[in-house]
Amino acid sequence: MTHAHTHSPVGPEEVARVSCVRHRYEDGTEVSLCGLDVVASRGQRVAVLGPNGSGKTTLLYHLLGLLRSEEGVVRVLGVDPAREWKQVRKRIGVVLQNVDEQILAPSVADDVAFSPRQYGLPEDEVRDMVEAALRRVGIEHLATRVPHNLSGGEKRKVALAGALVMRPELLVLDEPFEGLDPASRDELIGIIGEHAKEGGTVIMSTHDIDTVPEFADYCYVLARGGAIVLEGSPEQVFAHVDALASGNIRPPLLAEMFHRLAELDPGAPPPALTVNAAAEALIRWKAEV
Amino acid sequence: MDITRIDYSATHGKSALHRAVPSAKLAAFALVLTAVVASTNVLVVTALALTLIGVAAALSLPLRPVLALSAYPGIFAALFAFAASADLLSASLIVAKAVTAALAAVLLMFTTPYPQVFAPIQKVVPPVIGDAILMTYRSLFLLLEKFGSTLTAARLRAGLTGRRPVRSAATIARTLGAVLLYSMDLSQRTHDVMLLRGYDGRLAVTAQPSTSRSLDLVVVTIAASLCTVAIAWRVWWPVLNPYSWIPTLAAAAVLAVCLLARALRKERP
Repeated sequence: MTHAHTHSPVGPEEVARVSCVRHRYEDGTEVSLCGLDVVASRGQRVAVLGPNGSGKTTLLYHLLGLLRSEEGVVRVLGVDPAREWKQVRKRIGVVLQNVDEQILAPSVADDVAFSPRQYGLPEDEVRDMVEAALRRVGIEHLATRVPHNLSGGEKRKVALAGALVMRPELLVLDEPFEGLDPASRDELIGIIGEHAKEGGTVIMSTHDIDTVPEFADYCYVLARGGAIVLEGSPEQVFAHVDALASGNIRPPLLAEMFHRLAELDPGAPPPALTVNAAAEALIRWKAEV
Repeated sequence: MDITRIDYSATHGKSALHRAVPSAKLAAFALVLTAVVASTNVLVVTALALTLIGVAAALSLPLRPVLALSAYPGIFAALFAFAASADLLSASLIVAKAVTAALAAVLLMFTTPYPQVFAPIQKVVPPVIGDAILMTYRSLFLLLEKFGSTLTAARLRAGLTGRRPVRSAATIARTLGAVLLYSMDLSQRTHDVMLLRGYDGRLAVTAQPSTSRSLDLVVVTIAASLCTVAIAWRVWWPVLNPYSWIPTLAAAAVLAVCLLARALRKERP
């Protein structure tokens, strides 16, 4: 693990980049997101992993222009979001960690309609957009409900519908799986996958390590204090089980199991990170043995 | 909490008054208030109050909280009225006016979601005030939830006990202080979220469309009729005062019919 910064080249399909930014909070805590550039390209699903206090939310807040970096570079859709947020805000959807505080309107439909109305779109168009967003998240039946009577999972879906309503090019999700039951989590993974298939980019922070191989194309791993220490596909990142453990991150159970298997038997198959892939790998190995 | 009950009734109610367009209800509210202000006859004001209670009964609104909330201003008005008025009749008139005006306001709040009541006001006041009024709605529930959960935590950790009222009062005061600090933090975060979601200095609020023009017209007509009766009594009082018992009796009859209908509805399986 190194704190020296490595810049990755700018690609033509680059949507977002965070390069060695530093932020000091009012209480004096300093987060320095340095080491590797965090880059997200069009159609990519990027997971930001790290223990508590590693600066995942700080990273996302820089992407959203909520924090202004004291040094380094933040570019989102070609602009510095902290200075030119208005130029890109229609193209970015956001779900923050505390969805309760993100729901602003008195009813679900009104809340999903918040952004299109603020942008002055005609009411007929707003209605169609709201219906489409609610349908996409599967919560049409909640349209007339008041937010404070909803369950935690339902509130998260409402916030997601509000983020998707403008069909954003970039979706930023802070701990999107928190408070979701397994079925809702699978639905959310499906929605994220669909969004990426349509060319949308997703950047999300998560603690739900076991789910990462199911939804992420690329991962960044933050160590405590903000150092960005690992990057790569989930397979590449979770192959570094020891490096993850030293950064206080427990790798997915399957990655750990295959790592242990390799220690016990050098002929063991390479890590498979989803249940199906792991089952197939083990059956193949059994047949070979 | 009454506020949760009011909100639930306003957002989940299916009565005719719930279905009426908010602008019609606001107009009706203004007309009833005009009637209360214009009236100088305690029997006419009583008739207005009985009619409003009849409406609440007919709409199957929860009568106990409606009456209790309407009575609060009456208590304070009574303190002033009986101390300052020369005779019992004038004091009773002041108290009746306070209770009737409150009844009209409570009926409006029980049948109209808060944001729809204040949306027309938001359009005519400076953005910072209008938007603050509207945003108060969500914030209020977030703060109530925070207060409730903090109080529960205090209770679980023996911070609230019936045997030690002074210590419990201190815990409640500290909880309120914590909620106040949380509210300041919350306001900053809410503003951030608003900016992220497209806020540009003025909330865009869309008026609720009318579901039935005739229903809206009926609501306004009933309120206008009450207002007309009150103004007629005010203008032609020397002629009409001997007959003041008529509107009161009529309103009492309306109330009785409404209560009977309500009781029959409840009995129906």
